[in-house]
Amino acid sequence: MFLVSSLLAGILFGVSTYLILQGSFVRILFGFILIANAANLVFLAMIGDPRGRAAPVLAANEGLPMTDPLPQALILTAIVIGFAVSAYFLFLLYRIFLDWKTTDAVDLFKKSKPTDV
Amino acid sequence: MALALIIAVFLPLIAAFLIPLAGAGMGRRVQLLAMPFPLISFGLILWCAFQHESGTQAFLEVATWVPSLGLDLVFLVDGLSLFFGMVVSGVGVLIFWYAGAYLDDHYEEHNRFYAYLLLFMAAMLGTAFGGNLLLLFIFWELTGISSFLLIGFLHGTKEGQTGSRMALLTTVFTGLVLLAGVALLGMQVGSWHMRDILAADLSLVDGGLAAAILILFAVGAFGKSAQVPFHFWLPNAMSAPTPVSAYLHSATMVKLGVFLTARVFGVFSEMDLWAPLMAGVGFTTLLVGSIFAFFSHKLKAILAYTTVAMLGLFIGFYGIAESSGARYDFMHILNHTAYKGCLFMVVGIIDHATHIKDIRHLGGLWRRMPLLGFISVVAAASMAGIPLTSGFVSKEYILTELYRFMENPTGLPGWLPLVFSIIAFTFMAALSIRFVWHIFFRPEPEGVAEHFHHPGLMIHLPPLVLVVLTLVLGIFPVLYGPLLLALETPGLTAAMDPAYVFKLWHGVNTELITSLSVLASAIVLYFGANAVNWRWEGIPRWLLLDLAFNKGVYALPTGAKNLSRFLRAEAPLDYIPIIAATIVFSLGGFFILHAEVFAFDQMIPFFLESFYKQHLFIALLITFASFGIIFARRWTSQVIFLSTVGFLITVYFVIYQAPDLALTQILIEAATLILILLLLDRFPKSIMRGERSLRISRIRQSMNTVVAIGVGSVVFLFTYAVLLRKEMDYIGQYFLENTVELAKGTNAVNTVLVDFRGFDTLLEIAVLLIAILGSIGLLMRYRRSSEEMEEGEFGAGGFGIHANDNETTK
Repeated sequence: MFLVSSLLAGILFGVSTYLILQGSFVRILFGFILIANAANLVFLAMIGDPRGRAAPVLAANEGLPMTDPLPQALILTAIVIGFAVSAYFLFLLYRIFLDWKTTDAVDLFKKSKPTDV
Repeated sequence: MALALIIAVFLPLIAAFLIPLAGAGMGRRVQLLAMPFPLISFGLILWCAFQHESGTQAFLEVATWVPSLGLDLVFLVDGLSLFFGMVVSGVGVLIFWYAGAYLDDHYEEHNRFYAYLLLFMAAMLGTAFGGNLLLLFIFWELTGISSFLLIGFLHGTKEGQTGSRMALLTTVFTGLVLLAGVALLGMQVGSWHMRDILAADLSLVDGGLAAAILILFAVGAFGKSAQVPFHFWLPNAMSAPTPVSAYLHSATMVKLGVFLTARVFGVFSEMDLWAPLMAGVGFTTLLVGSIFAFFSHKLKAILAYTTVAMLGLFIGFYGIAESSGARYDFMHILNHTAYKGCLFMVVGIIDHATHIKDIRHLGGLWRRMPLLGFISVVAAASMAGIPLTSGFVSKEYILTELYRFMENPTGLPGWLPLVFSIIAFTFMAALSIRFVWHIFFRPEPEGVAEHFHHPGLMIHLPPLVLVVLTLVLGIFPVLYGPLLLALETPGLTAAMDPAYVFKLWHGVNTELITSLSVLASAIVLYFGANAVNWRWEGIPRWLLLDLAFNKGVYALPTGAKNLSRFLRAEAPLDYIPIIAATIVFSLGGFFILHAEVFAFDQMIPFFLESFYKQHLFIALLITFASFGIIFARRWTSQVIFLSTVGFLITVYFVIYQAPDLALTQILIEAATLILILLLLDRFPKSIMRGERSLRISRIRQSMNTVVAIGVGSVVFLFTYAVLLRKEMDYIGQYFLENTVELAKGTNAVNTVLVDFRGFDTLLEIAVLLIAILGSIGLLMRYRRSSEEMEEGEFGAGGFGIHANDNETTK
């Protein structure tokens, strides 16, 4: 269980790092969205072994052993913030495309001035 | 008395905000509107001084302001605060009067000027009477801000800009240092009330900490009073209109450092560091300032440096005082205020009448302005310390103290203050001779007559008042007796014998001989300088430190730019691998050194023991999908794989018994997908094709792969190491146990979010809001080209902006 969780987190981090290092902003964006998910998985793994435990909802599972609510709360916040940042990134990318007519990071930093503004 | 002080301090403050409104369109006549306020304050403080019982300290608690910080509105009335209050408001009266004549119709926005001046006066009075260290500090900073506004009053000129910026940066920086000292002292004492502060016994505090507090306070005082190495800002601040220079930079604000030194004298003076620090810096400044003054040619620069020098003398004077108290300190400050304020006004009148600012181009003005000449002669004589002026009396008593210190020195060589002072006095006496002779008596050079117009009588009166004061106190020094007795301050002034009579003539003693030899050598020095015709281009710029300061100000952004260029901040593709590789190496190295925490030999048995097939299955699916993002060629397939990962993670959350997360993940994943499809669909197909490896060299690609694998491995090891630590104490247990009782909710995750950690959620919402605003801004600020306009409402760049809206923004 631990091994699989850790491996999965490692793989997702590796894949998203690879994507972020690409020259295309679209891929960087995808890598960014993925890395947010990967970070959530690291936190989630801190819950430990969920087998034999119930969701931390007292009304339904009174008396049963329950999973740790704290990482869940942290991840919930992280998901929303990750979305906000990805959305902003997406709009930024769109704007970059409108101004420079390219999504190529290498190309973009060569251009000193936007072509259209 | 409390009411009188409230009115004296806060009436000018209120007036400062009303004058700009009431005085709009009144031109220079605003002065008549502003004039009553310093008069009222001066009268009230004078009345307080008569009510005050000498040698006592009264704390008038007016109101609590911020009780949680220990910040209360308290006035401290003692000799020191009354003396400074009277100086500030008294000189204020003269300055307002003088400004009325000086600021003629050539100037604009008179109402703004008088508003700043009133604000400044209120801040000064607040500092003088502040009975709470925090309150004192607030007013202290307010004087800095209002002086910035006043120095920069002529903000159209370059001198006004650099001068005011320099003054602000210096005083604000040293003010921050002072704040640290204030905070530390208050924390050690446990209160910011002046009664507790002044009663503080710093010998109980750790020696290093006490020294640190003293140094912090000293830096605050040195910055405000332009002591070495902060002496550069005062001459540059002279770009202000002359009334400001006379008021702020000779008579009042720059004396705040002296005031602070006097205020905390009782707290620090018994420390070993006190004498070397205060006297060392003070007398060094005295020497440096007087030499700089002697070598300057600009009238205002000469006076500015002599002011710097005299401030050094006052601070040094407290430095060499016995810890039982300083003798006759107010006498010297009053004397300096009188003649220096007067000389500044004289320079202002000369500038006004001739438009000449350089002493080398002046001469023969006695014939044109005999009254002004008389005023200058007396004031300069006081500066030189010639008998029958208050300067002479004051200098005799200063020399007495210097000789006393030489006999039993503490902290620094006993001869140093005396020798530095004698040299400085010689230079100042020599430049006093030059000041009078070159401006008034030598033959008139060409160019003086060109712009000359005679100043009115009104503008002569304020300096005349000060000169009369100088003469009266110089001829009848007996008057100092009751004045100083009334202003006796516990903890600061040494006990005075009430029967002591201040005399002009002490007989032929060491002080008189020293004085006479100073005057004699000053005459020699003057003629020596005359022989070379004063032929030097002012002071070498590097000594002034102001160029260094300006360079520092500019070096900051330039340095930052160069640094980011050096780090290639504009090319993330270059530096992100470096950052990632650094993390990999540092963490990876740590893991290799501590390989035992991973228990690698038990990895396989442990894996088999905790085998969970659903979990493994989902993990494999996620892995495949994520590799799909890398290997898919078209962005559409990449998006599909990305979304697959996202939705599979939902299932993963379900396995981990986290229903809230699963729900949120589904919603967010759907929203992200919609957003991506909406926006990316607007990109032309040509750009979307071939997204797989866009113009990246093969070497770099393989390097990226290595970095990515490294990051992945480090994260894996890190997570695994954390999970293996079984003795974990879950904070979550607390939330589970208390969710019903404390938060009245049964879903622990929800109560953590909205209740236990409610502020985090609030900030999270703030992040969302910022992202929304930022995104809207990105779209709204775009201006479409004409080709894009032709593509119609929903063409490129059309999202959120309609063609018609765009027309109006153009």
